Amino acid sequence: MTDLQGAWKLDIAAVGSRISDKSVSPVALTEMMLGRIGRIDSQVLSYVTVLKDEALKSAEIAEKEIAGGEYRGPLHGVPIAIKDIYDTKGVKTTACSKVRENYIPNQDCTVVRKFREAGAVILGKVTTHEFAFGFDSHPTRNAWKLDHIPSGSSGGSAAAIAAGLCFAATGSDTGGSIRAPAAANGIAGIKPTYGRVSKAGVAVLSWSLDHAGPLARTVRDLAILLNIMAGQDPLDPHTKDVAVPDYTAALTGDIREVRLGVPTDYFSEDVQPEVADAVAKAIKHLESLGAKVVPVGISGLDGVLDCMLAIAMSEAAAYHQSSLRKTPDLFGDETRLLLEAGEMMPATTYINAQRARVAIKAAFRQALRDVDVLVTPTQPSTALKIGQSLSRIGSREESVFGVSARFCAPFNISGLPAASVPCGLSTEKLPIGLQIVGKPFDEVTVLRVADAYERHSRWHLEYPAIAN
Amino acid sequence: MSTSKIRTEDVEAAAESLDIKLAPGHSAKIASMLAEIRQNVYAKASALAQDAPLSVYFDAR
Repeated sequence: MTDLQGAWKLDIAAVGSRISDKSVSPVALTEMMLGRIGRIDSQVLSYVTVLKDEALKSAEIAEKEIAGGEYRGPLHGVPIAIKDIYDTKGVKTTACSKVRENYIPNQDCTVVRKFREAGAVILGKVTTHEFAFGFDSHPTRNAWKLDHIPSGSSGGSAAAIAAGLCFAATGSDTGGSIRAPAAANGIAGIKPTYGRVSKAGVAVLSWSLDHAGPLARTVRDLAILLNIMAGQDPLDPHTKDVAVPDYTAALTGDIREVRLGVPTDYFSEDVQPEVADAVAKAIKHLESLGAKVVPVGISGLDGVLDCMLAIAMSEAAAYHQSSLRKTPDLFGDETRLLLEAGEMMPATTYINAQRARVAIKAAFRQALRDVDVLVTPTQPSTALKIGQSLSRIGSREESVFGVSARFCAPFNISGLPAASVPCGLSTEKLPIGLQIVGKPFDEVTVLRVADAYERHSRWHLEYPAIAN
Repeated sequence: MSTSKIRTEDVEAAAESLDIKLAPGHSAKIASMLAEIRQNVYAKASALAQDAPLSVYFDAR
């Protein structure tokens, strides 16, 4: 077995390769990660539950299987974390809410079952904003600056990966909750197409906006994880019978024929200058790799965030209707406010938001008619400070919700696949994200463009000081 | 149609009728939030054709 010093910096592709050739022991790797969690997570606060004994047992089983020639694939023996809204058999799944503080599922959700079958070692459950309904993910800290938010709602997932406390994690995304924390913590994340990944056994925020997906250190890892997560599930009627390609095979590094649509309006308004510069450089970089840059106008996005809120608040209020009456005091103040307001949303507002959604989806279909992907900033600014309620960005005073959702939520409304990859660091040493958006069920092209960028950039090789 | 005028008392009355115990200080925030969302969604919907469809079973394609 090789020395594990620095192994936490590897991606799944690299560490999985070493596990498969038996030069790295899953048990030693899991012990290393548990040790790091013990040393570092008291500052990052990304884990809700650490499954030390279960993780070591899984690692021992993986090690024996691999030694016996039963290698299951690139996730076999690799320690990962699970967002605390994904059901895990016999393990508390609290959604970081007192409403569910004693909830212990009697079966795994579909995604966790698939990960176990792939031989993954589950280190524990990581924080979410309460019921995934928000973006600051209290009490988790941004791995790059501990006095800043990690964004959310998959803030625990992103901060844990950035701090080197797991190799990957699950996330969920209703208005940006995979991509925004990925951007804020300098890692990669993808919200697949609506219907691509099963949500069976994942706590609902909004049936028609929720997406499940992975966060990881590299795009190649997203492809490995999506290979396992994707596919129709009889337990989730939202999933679609669409063939699942081998996402890793698509990562050719060749984007010479790819047409990059660069929006000329909504996605360039009121962006922090450092973010705009980093994204412009990334687009130039992609162009230098052979992609053709095409300016694209997208009409009709005004009011998109209010449509998203009308839908999310109404559906969330329906989901929590009983709890809001029986145990309202168990909700956090912010969640309770949104649920109370959701109860009072007129049905006509909800229906008109869903009708507007059809028009917004058509606008994106039109925008993507002559290009393969759209490229935008993931967020208009870097992460906000903990407790900072508003940020001045260009001409607007923007809330945490606005910063996190403004460029992400349109793709929950449209259901299109969208990834975030790191594309810079601000002068404050806060990460900046590049969002790449594709056509329905064309995660392959999204990942291919993201991977091509990553191969020729260094941002995924930057680590926060706390990780070292 | 004016959707922008929602009074705190309206929110409190609605909560009572819905059997919801509002947290202290929430009624004014809810009135403001609902007014803005309703107004903006109304404006958005007004720009649609009257028979523009509702897609209940969402499909990204």
